[in-house]
Amino acid sequence: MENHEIKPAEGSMKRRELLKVLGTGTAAALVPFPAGADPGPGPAARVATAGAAAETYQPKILTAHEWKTIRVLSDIIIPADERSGSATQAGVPEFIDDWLDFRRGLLLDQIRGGLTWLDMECNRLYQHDFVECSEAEQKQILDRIAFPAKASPEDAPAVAFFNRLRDLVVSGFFSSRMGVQDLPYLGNKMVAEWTGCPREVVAKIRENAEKQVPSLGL
Amino acid sequence: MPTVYDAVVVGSGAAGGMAATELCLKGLKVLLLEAGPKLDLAMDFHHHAKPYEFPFRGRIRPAERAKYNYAANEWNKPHFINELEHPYTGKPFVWVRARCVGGKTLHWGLVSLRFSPRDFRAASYDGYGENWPISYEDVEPYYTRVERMIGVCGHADHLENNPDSHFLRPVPFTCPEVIFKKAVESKLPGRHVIYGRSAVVTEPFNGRVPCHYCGHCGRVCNVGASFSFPGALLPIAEKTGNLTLRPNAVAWKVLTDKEGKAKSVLFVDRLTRQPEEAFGKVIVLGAGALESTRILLNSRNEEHPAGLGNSSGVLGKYFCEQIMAGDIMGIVPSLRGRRSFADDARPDGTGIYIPRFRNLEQRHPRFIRGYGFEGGGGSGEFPGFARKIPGFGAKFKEEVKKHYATIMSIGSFGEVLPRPENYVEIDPVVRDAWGIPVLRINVEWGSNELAMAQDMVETQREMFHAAGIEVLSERTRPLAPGWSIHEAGTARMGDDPKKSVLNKWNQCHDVKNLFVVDAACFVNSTEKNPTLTILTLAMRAADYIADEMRRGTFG
Repeated sequence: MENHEIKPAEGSMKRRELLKVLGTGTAAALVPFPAGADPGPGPAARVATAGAAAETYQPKILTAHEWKTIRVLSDIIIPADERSGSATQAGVPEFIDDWLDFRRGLLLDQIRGGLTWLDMECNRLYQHDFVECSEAEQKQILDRIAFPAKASPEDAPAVAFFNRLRDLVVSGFFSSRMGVQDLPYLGNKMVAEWTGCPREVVAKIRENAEKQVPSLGL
Repeated sequence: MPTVYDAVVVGSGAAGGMAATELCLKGLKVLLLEAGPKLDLAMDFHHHAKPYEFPFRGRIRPAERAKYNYAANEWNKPHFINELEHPYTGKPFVWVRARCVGGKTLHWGLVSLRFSPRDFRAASYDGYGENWPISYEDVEPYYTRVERMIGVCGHADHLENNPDSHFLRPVPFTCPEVIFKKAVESKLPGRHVIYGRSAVVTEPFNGRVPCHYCGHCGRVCNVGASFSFPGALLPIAEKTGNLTLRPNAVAWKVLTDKEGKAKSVLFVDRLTRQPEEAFGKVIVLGAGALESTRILLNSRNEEHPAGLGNSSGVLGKYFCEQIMAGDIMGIVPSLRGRRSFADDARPDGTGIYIPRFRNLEQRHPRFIRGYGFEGGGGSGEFPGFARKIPGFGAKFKEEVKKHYATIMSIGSFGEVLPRPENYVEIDPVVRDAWGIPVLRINVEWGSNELAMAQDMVETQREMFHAAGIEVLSERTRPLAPGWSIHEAGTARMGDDPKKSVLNKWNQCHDVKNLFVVDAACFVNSTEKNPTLTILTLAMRAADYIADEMRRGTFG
């Protein structure tokens, strides 16, 4: 039926998400997956045991080599730090595989194409695949494509690929239990009294209104 | 002999729900037909669940995806229709429909704005279209009664084009909003940044418990603190003993007797798929603008070949709504590094509102009418901005967290002119799962909307710039028609029966015991969210019906 073909413009917020934005002032509401991509999956149970499950997980759509590369890339994008684990520990690669399996189409092509480019480029420069690269080599090539404002025009497709992949990793990580706790996200539970911007911050905002102060340092 | 009710009301959302409640309170015996099931607010939805508690992180699971519109998610999906069973045709249009007791009041955005005196006389200001047959003064007492019945929080700002309501205390601003308000109001004269006005009770109210600040009202409020028909009005209506609620009744058409009076509503039982007939002295359509219009068009008969109540030829025409032309999101730099806060626990519809500032004092050279912005800032459920942060690794992860509490975003609703070329009609071939002919929707943006849309994008940038906000993303093209879910105007009211379907009491010019009480009656959409006015006009029409009933007008 024709009416179901309607999609929001690229990058647009869905209205209900927008309403959430309007209502609660957030960049997005329910895990706003990028336009063109869609949620993907990542069953809760599996996420909870992601660390252990990763060993036995059978990718649904990614090849063994792609799976390996996605795992490496996920942890490069979101590594563990003192507050939380890494993307693979949060079950992000499983999430991405599920998601790509469900979406397929252009999104899958773009990710696949990007992974192929990455390996070809690594072979050209370093004579081996991305996963075999040293940390320095990996960083070197990703530095080329992870900063859109600085990237060269010839790398545009690779930059677009990396943007997409980063979207996927971010979406998977910050909608996982680990990511939600890391932020930390404090809503969607009962709060006795919602008080808004703390008084001391309001005072500081007033105080700083006339001065150019780079950070409130709170 | 079948039961003949004083009134048969079709639809249990804002319009039908309010009309039925008011009629019950006035002592009429009411049959309320609702196409969907009766759901339990506390039991049939997911409350306080995190994305990772769902198999698909809150998104509709793949196997079901074709069934749902864009507004549905795993939290709120039970009340939406199955799109596959309810097709429509025509030009690209997004038609979000909820079928259950309460309709879209279960997930609406809660923004509650009175129309202004100017809004009812918009044509007098710029010469476009028609004035309403009613003035703000006619409606004001009903706005007051509705607000005292449902509860609206906000702050009295004394703005001429945004009349104050009877407010419960407002919900405070978040830090990005405090900064934004201060900057915009001091640097851009004529722009106001006010508390969102929202139909959520922030204190105990009419027997309802106040908001417990979990946020996400659009996922359905389990305690009925945000306004919904089942949460706020149904208990009142039931208490009168005058209400008969008939869920799963999919209305098809209004049948008339040989004198031309409306006598019944023909409906299909959603579960048995058997047709049934509900008889009333008065028939009240409050199914949502397009559904009510569809029912009237489908009620055509020998005497009313173009649809019931359509001797004017206006039925289905002058569709109007609101265009969502832009939205913008960015970082408030002075808040970098601030710890996160439960900003996202605040009810929908609060945050900030930027009232219309165009075409009030001065005429804009490129378009008429205006638009408003709604928005807010703070730590959301999900750091959607993260995809705009460049880089990778430990620094990237840290940057995301450092900016988590700095985000500010706004989006706009602009008035879409009621043009005769924007119309709906019955598709001659396609039928829905109940055998009912479907709508063909012919709606497109016009030049006024597109010029306005361009201005919306420019002014949103201007305000962000004034506040020193670093823009992370913005949408500069309008969303598809229908996206606002503010459809209106296809059975407009007016004093002249040749130019309108309804009179100023929402009464059909052609059929005196037939009323349409939803936004189909709107003469123009304004830039303001329609629900408060829908509730108000439905209550007003119900009052009129009850008075006329007492006088014996309807036999």
